[in-house]
Amino acid sequence: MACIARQNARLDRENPARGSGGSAPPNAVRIMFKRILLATHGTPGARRAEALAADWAHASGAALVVLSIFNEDWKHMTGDDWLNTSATRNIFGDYVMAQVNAEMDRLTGRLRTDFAGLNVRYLRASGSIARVLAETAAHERADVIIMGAYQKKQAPGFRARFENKHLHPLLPCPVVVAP
Amino acid sequence: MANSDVGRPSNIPLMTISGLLLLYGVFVMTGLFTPLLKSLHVHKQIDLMEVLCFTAAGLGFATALLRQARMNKPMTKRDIYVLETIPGILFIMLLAMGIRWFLEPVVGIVSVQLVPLLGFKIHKVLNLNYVVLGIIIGIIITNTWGIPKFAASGVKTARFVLKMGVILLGARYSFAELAKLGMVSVWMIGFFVLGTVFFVLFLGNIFRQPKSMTGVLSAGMGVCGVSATVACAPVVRARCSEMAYTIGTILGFGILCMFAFPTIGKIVGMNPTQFGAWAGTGILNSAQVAAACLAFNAVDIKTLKVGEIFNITRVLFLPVIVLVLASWYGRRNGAKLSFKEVVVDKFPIFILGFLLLFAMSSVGLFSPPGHYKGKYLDFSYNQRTEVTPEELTVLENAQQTGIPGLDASEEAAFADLIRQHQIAGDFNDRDNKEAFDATARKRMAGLESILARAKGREIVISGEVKSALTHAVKQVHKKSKTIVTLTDAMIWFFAYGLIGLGMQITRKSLAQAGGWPLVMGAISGVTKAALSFIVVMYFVRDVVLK
Repeated sequence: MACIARQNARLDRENPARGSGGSAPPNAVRIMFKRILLATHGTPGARRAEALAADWAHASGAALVVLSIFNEDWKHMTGDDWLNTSATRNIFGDYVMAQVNAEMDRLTGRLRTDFAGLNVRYLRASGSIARVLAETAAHERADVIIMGAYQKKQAPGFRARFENKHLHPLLPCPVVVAP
Repeated sequence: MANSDVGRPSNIPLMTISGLLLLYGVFVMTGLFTPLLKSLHVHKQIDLMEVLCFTAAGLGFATALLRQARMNKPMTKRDIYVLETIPGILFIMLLAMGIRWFLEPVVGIVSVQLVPLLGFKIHKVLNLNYVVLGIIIGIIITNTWGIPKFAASGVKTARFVLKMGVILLGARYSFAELAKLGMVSVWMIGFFVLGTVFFVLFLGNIFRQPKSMTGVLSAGMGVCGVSATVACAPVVRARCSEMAYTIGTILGFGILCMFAFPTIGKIVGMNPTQFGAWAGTGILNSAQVAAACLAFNAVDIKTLKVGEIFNITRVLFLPVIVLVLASWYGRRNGAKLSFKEVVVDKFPIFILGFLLLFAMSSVGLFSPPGHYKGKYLDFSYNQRTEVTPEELTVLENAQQTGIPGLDASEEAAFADLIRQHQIAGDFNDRDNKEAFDATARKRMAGLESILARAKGREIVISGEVKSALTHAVKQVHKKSKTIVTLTDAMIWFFAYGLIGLGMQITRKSLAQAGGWPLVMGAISGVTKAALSFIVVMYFVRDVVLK
């Protein structure tokens, strides 16, 4: 709430003629959403997105859809293994999936506390991050996608840099990057 | 058993590949490409080109017809495991042919042209033969355009084909070789595998790293790279980041070794036994061992034979190491795993195939008595009977400086050996076997005469020239037809398998290298490579291989 107010105040200062001709009170909440899609893995950058999404959901009464994506690049992580049987590789694949799910369970557990009082749904999907994000936003009819900003130092875990050039052509709604 | 039809890739790429192969086969058969092939020094492969191109094109067209008939029908197991794999198989075959017959010779020619600029032959320094080029092309494809959709199923066959290559290699060992090499490999691998595993665990203790991370890294660095990591990660309950960092580190280190080892081996003048032993011990991934051995010497499979024995010994240690790590980790965490899960499931079954071929060969199933006694001669054009590039350089230098005392027939035989890289008849007589073989016999007699006169001290030749000539004569002594076919198939299987394996190495997986696994992996990997280098240089002697 405070965050949105700060943003609106800043925008009003920078451009007094914006919105309804500058006649609206400077601290009024003018951003109204019905559904917000939050993309998070619980990394430090994504935590800021979580805070912003919670802020906006509180302010606008929007439903929050929390999406965690299992990176499809994991499928390349058997690399040049050629010795193991398909059974061993399947065991490895199932194990990785279970580990990622356990990490997501921990994240969901924490968010249930943080987002108490909000209307939240938790989703998990696997595939290309950009494609899954865009498809989920379209499917959920999200008004906005909120995600974390690029971090110079990556958080521990699977190293995968998100690339805007892959997401932007697919976007069904605006994206907000939490600073 | 039918899966839902998720849509088969189009038939157009398959038809295009089949058409290209057919067209190429026709051009080769009609002699249209002969001048080009001669300029690339691959004209001796013409017969093989025709057979492979027509067979592959026929298979491609037949598959395209069958696939067309099955379009929009539910996928059955036969579709998934047979029909849908053939486009990818032909795609890799096309790449393998292109690399062996065009890219490799072109790289060699360009490299020679660059000598005035660089001062050295870059393809020699980087060992850019068909094996290394195949892996590089595979890596480039997967990291740029990606594996084409139509080829995705077929590319997965690379692992199976590589195993087939190792199985066929089993036919090339004798009891004596296996006994000699086996003893050395068991000692060396036993020491270095267990040594590295315990060294990484020790490092983990010093750097206060989690047991799960050190467990998974120790298997990867000690036994067989990513394969061991994949096998051990669930056993030691490794976390996602630990698995990702470890695999990235091992992949990166392995690729570095694959390119560095052959160059270092040549610089220090290792013999095939020494290099095979070093590569088989120091390089992490066992496919990379095969690649490095073939990069060190792609013509003669001596190095590969040694490297693979070390490789197989190491792979046999995998269930043992999994068992050790399972007990080590399980004792601390109370986790219980069955013997089947830990040992039986991890046993590399293809080694049984290798041993079966070895046993069949040893009892004379492929090579009846007399084949190895110089009774039969093979003058056909075959890369297998060529002298090595190093030997060719020695012969060229000797020709430039001149060998005093040679008679005309000896000089002619010597010159032709340099021209053709092997003892053979004239290219124009290749369809007239009698004339071809008669010329070749004359040339062989000329070379044997040089060796005999050198032995009788009538003429003086250097030890290196003598060795090269002896090797050239030895190469044409015919092996059993079955053994020759198996060896040729094996070389193609390795080329095919390594291209496919190159396609599994993505920059995203390499980018995972980092954190403590990178630090500990670098320390243990470099230590193992350096120590095994010292051991090999000082304690491993050359083993006479047939």
